[in-house]
Amino acid sequence: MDPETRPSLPHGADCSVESARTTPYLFAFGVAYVGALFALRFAPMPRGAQIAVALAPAAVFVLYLVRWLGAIRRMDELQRLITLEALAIAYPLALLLIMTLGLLEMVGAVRHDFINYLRLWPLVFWLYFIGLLIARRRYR
Amino acid sequence: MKNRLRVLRAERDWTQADLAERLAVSRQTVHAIETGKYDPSLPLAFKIARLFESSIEAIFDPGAARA
Repeated sequence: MDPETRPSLPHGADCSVESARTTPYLFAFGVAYVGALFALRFAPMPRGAQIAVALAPAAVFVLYLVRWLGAIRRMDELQRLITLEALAIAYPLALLLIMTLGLLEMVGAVRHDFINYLRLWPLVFWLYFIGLLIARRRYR
Repeated sequence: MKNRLRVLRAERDWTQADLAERLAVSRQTVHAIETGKYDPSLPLAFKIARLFESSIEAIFDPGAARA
């Protein structure tokens, strides 16, 4: 491996090491979410169980969030700056998206049943990764 | 801003990863500083200067700072 590109040791908060720490939790959230989707759509269950199943992915996501916040605390100054810039791009864009869709829905340009929470949140999720790509390119 | 980090690192035959470990930062940060894409904070600049037994002014060139 090129010595210029081999990864740093863990205490330098190398991106690949931090990803290895948080990715399993993100994957677990994905599994929990997809599992809940299928269960709620196809498995008959009492109302209380439905709500419990609907909330279960949120509990897994909180675990991921705790790991992610820990990863941010271990990041060095540039990585924290990149994360901040990514969030600074993603958060206003998410607000813009939701606001614009709301107004379009009001005038009937977007179908009420097409844009719902299930379809909207992945868009917001991906906005963060778009922000991260943009922020990282700046310092490459 | 321009700096002599790459030269100083090469004099000691360190890779970017070696320098990153000594500074407790990521290799990406070392690369960004060397290429002038990122200016280190004051504490990190002092750490760099101490590591190379030099002064901040001798390593970093503020006259060529990015606009």
